[in-house]
Amino acid sequence: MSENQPIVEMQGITIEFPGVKALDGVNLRLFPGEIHALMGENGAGKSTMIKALTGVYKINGGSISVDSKPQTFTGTADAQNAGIATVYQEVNLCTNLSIGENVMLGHELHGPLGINWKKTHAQAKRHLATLGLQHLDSHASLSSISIAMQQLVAIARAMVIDAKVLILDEPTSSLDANEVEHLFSIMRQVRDSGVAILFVSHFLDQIYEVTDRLTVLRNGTYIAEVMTKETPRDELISMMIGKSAGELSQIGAKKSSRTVESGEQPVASVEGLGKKGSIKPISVDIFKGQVLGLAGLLGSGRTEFGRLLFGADKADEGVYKLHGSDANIDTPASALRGKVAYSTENRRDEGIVGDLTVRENILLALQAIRGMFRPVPKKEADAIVDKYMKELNVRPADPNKLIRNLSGGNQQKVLLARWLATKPELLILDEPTRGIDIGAKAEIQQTVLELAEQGMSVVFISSELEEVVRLSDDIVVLKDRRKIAEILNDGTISPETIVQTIANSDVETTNSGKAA
Amino acid sequence: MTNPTVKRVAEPSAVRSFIQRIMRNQLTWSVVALIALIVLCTIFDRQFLSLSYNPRTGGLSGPMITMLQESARYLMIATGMTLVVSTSGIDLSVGSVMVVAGAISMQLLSTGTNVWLSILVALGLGLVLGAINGALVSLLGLQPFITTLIMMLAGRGLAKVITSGQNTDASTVAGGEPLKWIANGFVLGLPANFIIAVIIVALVGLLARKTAMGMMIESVGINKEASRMAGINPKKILFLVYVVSGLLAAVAGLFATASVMRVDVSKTGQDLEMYAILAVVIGGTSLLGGKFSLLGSALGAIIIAMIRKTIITLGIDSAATPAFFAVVVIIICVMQAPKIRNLSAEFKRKNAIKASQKAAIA
Amino acid sequence: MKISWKKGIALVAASATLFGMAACGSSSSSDGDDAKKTVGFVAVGPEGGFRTANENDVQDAFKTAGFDLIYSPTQNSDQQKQIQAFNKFVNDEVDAIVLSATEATGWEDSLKKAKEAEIPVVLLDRGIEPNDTDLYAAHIGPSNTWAGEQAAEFVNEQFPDGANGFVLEGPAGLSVVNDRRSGWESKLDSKQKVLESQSANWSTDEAKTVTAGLLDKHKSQNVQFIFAQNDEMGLGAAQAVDAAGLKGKVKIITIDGTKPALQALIDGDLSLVIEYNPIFGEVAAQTVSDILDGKTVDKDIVVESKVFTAEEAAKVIDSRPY
Repeated sequence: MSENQPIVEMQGITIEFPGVKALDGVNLRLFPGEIHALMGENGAGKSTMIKALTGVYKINGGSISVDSKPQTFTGTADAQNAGIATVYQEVNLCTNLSIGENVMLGHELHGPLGINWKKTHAQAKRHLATLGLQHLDSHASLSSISIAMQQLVAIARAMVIDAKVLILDEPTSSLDANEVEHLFSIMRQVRDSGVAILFVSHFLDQIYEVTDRLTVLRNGTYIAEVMTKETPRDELISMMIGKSAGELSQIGAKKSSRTVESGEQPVASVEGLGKKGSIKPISVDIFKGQVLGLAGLLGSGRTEFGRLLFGADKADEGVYKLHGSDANIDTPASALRGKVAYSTENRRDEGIVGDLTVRENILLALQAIRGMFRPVPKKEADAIVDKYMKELNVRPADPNKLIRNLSGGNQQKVLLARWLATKPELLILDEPTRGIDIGAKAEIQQTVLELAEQGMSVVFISSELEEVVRLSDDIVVLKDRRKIAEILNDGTISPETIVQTIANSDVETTNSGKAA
Repeated sequence: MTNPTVKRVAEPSAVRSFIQRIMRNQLTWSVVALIALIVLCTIFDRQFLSLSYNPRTGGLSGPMITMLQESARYLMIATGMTLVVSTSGIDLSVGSVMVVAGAISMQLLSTGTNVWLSILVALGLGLVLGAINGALVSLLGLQPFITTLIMMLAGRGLAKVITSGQNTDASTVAGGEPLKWIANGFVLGLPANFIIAVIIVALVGLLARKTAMGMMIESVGINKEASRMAGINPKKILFLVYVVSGLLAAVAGLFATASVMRVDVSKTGQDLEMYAILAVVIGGTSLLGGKFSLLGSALGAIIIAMIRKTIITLGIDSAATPAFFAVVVIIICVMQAPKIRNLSAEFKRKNAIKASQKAAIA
Repeated sequence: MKISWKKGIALVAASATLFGMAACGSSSSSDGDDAKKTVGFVAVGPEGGFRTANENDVQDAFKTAGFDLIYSPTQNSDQQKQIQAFNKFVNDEVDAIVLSATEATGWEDSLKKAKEAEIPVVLLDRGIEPNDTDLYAAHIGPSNTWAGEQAAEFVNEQFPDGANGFVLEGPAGLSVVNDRRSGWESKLDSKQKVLESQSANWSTDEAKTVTAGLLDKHKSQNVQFIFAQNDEMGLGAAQAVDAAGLKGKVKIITIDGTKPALQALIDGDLSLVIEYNPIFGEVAAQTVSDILDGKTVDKDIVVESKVFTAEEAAKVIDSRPY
């Protein structure tokens, strides 16, 4: 397969920003009919490299050739004309347009009276069908389908321009296992038709499952191009982080499960908390220093339950107690005052305030609790910002940078700092490690365990079962917006156990004292 | 980089970075525009910058003084508008709130009400109208554009109801002197209304930046949902900015009517919402919301007053004044556009690339 | 206060029209018996002292004369609203329409419709352009040209050797502005020098700013007269003149003759006020009544106005209703 000529050849790419060399002489070759993974930690230069290839950034040095023809991209249109299509990290479609319009945007079919919508939608349907998405209604609004489906629509959109090269930047970060499988089958299908695919993902499993070749970057430099099959995982990891694999200890592996004393007062306790159309009544007790995992498939009600606990949505039934006394948690503000904090899964829309600085983003929630007219004294604010940026290793270590200019992992750390600054007793983390690189992921996992050890209660929501099992003391399993089990993590639990629990959920499974 | 053709006379880098910083700063261009207008006026009227002491008013007099006097009202509405725009809203009703405040003060004064009470009622009414805007936008979630457009229409109607459609004149009413002084008097030789306006802008600035108000307003303007999730009550913030805008518009209305002690129910405050929006845009606050600059807007307000002064000084034909206004504002906005500001840097870069390519061929 | 609140209610109705709820008029067309004739009044609405006095007078006069008058004001001089109101009156088949136009141009189509429907139209105050006398039954109003002429003649009289001054005009393009200017220019002696004409938009506040600017600019030119095309602007000019310490040295001439202007004239802030007589409701009602009775009337009825000096103003000020 690799005998043929590369369709894209990037040689010695250098990109400079004021004061920084983002890329320094990086090479990348993409071959038709191959899935190629671009590997590296956050900040390694993956996104910059992709932006160079898609014409977003102008290169300061090096050359790009497509189909053996040298190219100078002065904008994204040039790259598109050269046959390079992209699906970005965060879905970047117009949610207020219909699915069909999104797929065909800029490529609508014209009739004598302007756009012929009927034909355009028919064409959109054909494109969707080739990706096995024929069940989608082309006229439905994009916002009416799940984020996961929107992602697949974005890929359909990229294919509209008859691409020779398809770039998928973190396409799987918001998909669940089934959807990932669906995506991979689509990717293989596209690959087999002779398209070169550039794939970026933080999930090593996925890299090994679907890619043929790897290029590894580190700190803006080129490390190696290797065949996926011939490269063991630990070797790949050490190429990426520049340390040997052994140094990355298995976080949480040595963790001893926390046991609940009988008669102990829970920090937070909900009884029959639910909201119509969102989640059925759930009862859970959360104890001091406990990590409570919430496991379940996408759409099982994990996030919805987290939001109820935080008052982001208003529960319409149930009792909510903090330290044994009734608490009226119906807004985020009231939750924060009750020392409950929630880090959202939707970092971009509900988490960061993009045009504010890192410093302001960290102080925001603390300030909201104190009230508008009691500003955090400057010295205290400096100390808080400094402390958390150091503890959580936020990069770049400049509190006055706008948060939107940070990588996903660092944004996540800033948000974590925001919640920690409020000194919560109960911290709800919804997908805190999604879409961030291995290094940051490990740091956040480590932080969760440390916080629990210091006595904070943590509700840990993740679609990665392995992560949930490794970090949690107890695991609440959700399915179809109901709690189907609560499992004590006594060391014998594996992701398999949870998968089976979900699969056999007609039978209510409980191996700990608590009933569903 | 060893190529001699690319090498230029090196400036000390500290100086260069300082210059670059200045060039990138939006305020710089506002100041440049202001100076350019003053220079233009001085060319047409050599006496433009001359100041003399006027014993009748107890203050300085001269073209610049009347300009500052007129700028006071723009300072007020531009400040309120800045906060509203920062929440990604807009307040089209400021001109109408001005006429309502002016109408009630003149009407009360002419029917024998105490001047201070009249002022208080006018300010209170501005506050109430702002609160209605705020309540509709924050609690009912109506679009700011529509809400304040309705208030703009209703406000002028209300002003006419207050004065029974008359242009109430209180210039001869005894006891109106304090109000008259506010718009026409002088403090230390400078116009009292300008001084008052600057103090109010400074107070709002302090309130915004020394408390968390500014950050919260910006936060809500940038990402309302994320702000709510961070424990901020966006409704409270939205309500607040419209109330402030209404109150400041009432102050502006007092300035405008007290200047001649006469309200003109169809002219007072007319089109001034546009001036306020222009001042905000010139000042560098995005109409999409987010980061705001009160200093920038204040400068924008003074530029608006200066443009109007320029129109009088140059004797521009009345039919052409809107066009002149538009051209000046467009020039300022274009100068401030990041693309234009980066143009010189871009030129340098391109030249360097060309030079190096030539060198490579040679 | 009671009366003013009633007016207030009328104004609320006016603003209601603005919100698209065309409220008035619909009840009128049904009167089959010839008890009361219905007259539609396409009016300007609150604009200033002159307009208010004029429209109140017209309304009162028509009511006294036994007409059923439907008052339909516009807002902010919006001609579109006037045309809509006019067409509605035509559709409702009123017996006659009196039109007080905000703008002189753009009325041909509407007037033709009225003519086809055999509804006589009487123009109040402002004429139409082009002045096609076939399209209306009569025009009643004071003469703007005459008013401009009086201002010029006063200046000629006061400064036989010539003087410098400037003119404050209304918004560019209005026929009132053009007529007052042409009257002024036609009679102004060539010895008199108008340094500059600028618009102050009929507004007191703007006039003050503009006058202050012009006084600064022409400081060395010994400005001796200011002709303000209406009272509102004259009052603003007077304040600027006062602030510059030139009270009494600059003669200010205004047109309209509202009470505040007459008061200012008595106080010496203004030097001459030329009336633009708003009280012609009775003439208008009589004319409409004559037309409906089939009598012939003059096409152009000029309403007489007065020229006020301080002395004459003192005589009438107490009885002045507006």
